[in-house]
Amino acid sequence: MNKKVRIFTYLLSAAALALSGWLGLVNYPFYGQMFITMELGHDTPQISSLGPPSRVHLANGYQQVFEGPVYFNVRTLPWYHRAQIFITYTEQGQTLTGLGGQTAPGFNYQVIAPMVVRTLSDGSKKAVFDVDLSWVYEQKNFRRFLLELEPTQPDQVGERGELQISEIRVLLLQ
Amino acid sequence: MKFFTKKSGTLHQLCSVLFRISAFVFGILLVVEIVIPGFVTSWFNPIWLLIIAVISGIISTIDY
Repeated sequence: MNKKVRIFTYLLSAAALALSGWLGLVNYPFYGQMFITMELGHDTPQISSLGPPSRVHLANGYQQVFEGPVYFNVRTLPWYHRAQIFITYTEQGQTLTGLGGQTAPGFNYQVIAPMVVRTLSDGSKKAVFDVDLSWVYEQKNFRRFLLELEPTQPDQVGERGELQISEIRVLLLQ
Repeated sequence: MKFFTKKSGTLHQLCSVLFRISAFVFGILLVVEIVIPGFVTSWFNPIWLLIIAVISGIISTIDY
């Protein structure tokens, strides 16, 4: 084996080791937590967009939700046992009442109320949900959550309000 | 053209090394992904390693 080939072999081996180390670090961070941010309207490998499509619409950088429930999937690795879900939204006729975690196959969800709801300076709200992942059913490699909505004024028949979601972030904790 | 015979040129040797390492890493990542779904594919698509392995494997075996 000549010198060039030997150097190339060392470089490639180092790159392979670096790739392994990087993958280990991003999946199992030292500080024990991982943030996942939803790209509104787009599926990513770690978190899906909101569905079903008939109830949501992407407009001006935020996600309009016309009717609940709507769902999204999060990929969770086995060493994460808790999740905090941060949702920033503006209520325009629809109110976010809770977040449900799927507990069994089919439409089986346990809905929890937000731990904290803060009103931000621009009038939008930020709700934080704390979920123990041990009771959330895991389908192969993801867990499904839903957002439960209610019309702000239930007696208004025919008025289609919306919830404008500007950000959904998931903090996975070990 | 003689396929699948050992070649001694520098490019053949480089491609041979590239083939072995990328195929080996792809195999490891495949096993890891099967055991822990999402460990690899959440961050990048390992199929590129397979493509590199196939191309370098072909180059390392052809005469030109």
